[in-house]
Amino acid sequence: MRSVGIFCALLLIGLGGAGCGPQGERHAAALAPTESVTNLRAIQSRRFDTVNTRLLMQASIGVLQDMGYTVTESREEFGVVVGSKATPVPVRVQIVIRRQPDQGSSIARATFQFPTPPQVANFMPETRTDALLYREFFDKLSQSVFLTAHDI
Amino acid sequence: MTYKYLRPRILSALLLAPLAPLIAGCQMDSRQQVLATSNSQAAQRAISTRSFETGDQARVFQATIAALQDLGFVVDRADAVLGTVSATRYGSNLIRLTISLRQISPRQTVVRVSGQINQVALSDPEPFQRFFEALSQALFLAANPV
Repeated sequence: MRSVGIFCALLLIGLGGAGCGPQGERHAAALAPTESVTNLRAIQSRRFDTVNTRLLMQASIGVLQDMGYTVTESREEFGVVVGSKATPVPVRVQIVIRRQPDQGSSIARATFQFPTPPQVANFMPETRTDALLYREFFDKLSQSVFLTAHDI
Repeated sequence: MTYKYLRPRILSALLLAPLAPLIAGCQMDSRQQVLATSNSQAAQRAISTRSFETGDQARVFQATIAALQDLGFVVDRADAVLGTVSATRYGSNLIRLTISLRQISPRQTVVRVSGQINQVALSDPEPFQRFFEALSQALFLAANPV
């Protein structure tokens, strides 16, 4: 009988342990950065030598249109543009434009949310962190800034 | 190490080896899917952009919404400050459009349309021509190529 009691106590401890610690810790882990924050910022950001944030926002909308995205949110006062694309696996992108007047420039930061890899069942959407994707995106944004500045 | 232990490893390596380029290919495809452009950026803009002889952006904005309604679309969101409208039409196909407009001079406003039919981006000139015809009628102004 005593051994049954010990077994039950161990089982309860085991079940508690399966939850990987207290709820506070688990929830904190859900909000913890997955990558080095500075590294991620560097990958997702590009500086433009202009303080004309309206031009950069219009160019951001333009590049989303170039890539077939629908603009789902745009707020000039916060420098935010959000777009989504209906593909077999839906993609979302957020672009934030931030002016740096003391340096005579602005920073564009983009975040793509996209499930990887798409072929795996039960995938979870996640933020893309591969540098090549962002490099190619910013090349397109630079082209869009050029075309928008020339009224094309 | 004997063949007995080595064989399953070789077998699994042989089975997995052809999958490696596939996995790499999937990553490439997903990136292309994210950044895909049907035409070059400049070419796509040429077929999807028109200029109207008015500097009244608010008037063009209202006419855009009217044209969308004429074509059976319902507006999902509209931002008059940056000049963007997104709208959806349901039916045999799901069509999502985004229209952006910009005043480029005191007497000129450019309008650009982009969108998807189901999961395919609009890349032929005809659908854009149809939209600009509807917008011209709503505005009582001619649509000029840029």
